Amino acid sequence: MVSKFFLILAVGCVGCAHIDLDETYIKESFISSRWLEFIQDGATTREQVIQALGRPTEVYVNRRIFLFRLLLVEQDFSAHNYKNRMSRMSAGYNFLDPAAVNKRRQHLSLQGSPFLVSGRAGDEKNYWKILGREAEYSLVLVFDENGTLKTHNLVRVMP
Amino acid sequence: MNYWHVCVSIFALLFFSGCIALPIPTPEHHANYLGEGPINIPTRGRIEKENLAFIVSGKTLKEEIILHLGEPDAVLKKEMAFAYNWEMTAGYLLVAVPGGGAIGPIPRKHMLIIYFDDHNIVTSFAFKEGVFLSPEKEIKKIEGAADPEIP
Repeated sequence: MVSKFFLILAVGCVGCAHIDLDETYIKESFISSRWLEFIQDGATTREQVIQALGRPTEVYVNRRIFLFRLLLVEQDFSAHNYKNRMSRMSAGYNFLDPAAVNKRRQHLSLQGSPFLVSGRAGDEKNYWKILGREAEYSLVLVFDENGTLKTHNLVRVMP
Repeated sequence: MNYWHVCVSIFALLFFSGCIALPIPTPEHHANYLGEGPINIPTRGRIEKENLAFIVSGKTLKEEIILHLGEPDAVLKKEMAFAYNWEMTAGYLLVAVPGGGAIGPIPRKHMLIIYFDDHNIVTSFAFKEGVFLSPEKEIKKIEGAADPEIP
């Protein structure tokens, strides 16, 4: 009788383990403090930004607004690596594994880097990195007429 | 089972073995193609209508739009219009045939189009969405229009 009770209890208590996605390492505040701390409103100049980040992805309003498209990716991964990974993933109908995603985010916080997409996503190199990214951001910098940073924002556009 | 029954069964198997296509609607969510990660698609994430309260036609500047929403997916009419595109999964289509089947996402495309005047101030903005919406066609329509301020 007792063993039957425990058997029913064991069967009844079999549930699904639930893990939430950890947003800590992809939050804009984390990315800014980890990689973009040199950007200071009222101090950083347009030239300093170009020197540190390179050519912006897009410029608007007569070069007053710079936009950098940044992808959070593995530092040592090539487009070829991402292509292979994506091919494997689409071949096998794997569902979202929050534990694996959280592990990758933590790894990227230590050994990842923001990859700057120069130009539109047309070429294959950019395309596979875009597909393989863990997160994507727009770094928007607005300069005054003297070329000094007036204001800026890092916007997470994906996920 | 007699000969007649066998004939009817073979006839039914040959001529009534069609496929079933069953759309399964779901709340809109990011299209991940059942992949491992949540984001393996090339488009940007969703822009919530509630997050656009800051846009006031005749007042909001282009720089405020970019600061809040990030990079537009298309810059049209020499910066007189911006388009933001994203794709969500609106459900799944289950196709079953005798001996097998497949399931795939039903994507719903979304567009936010914002128009500016010569002083980089928002004049109007509009949302478009639909399973059959083609952002490329919409962009061509705007590019082809004489006046970028299409409602």
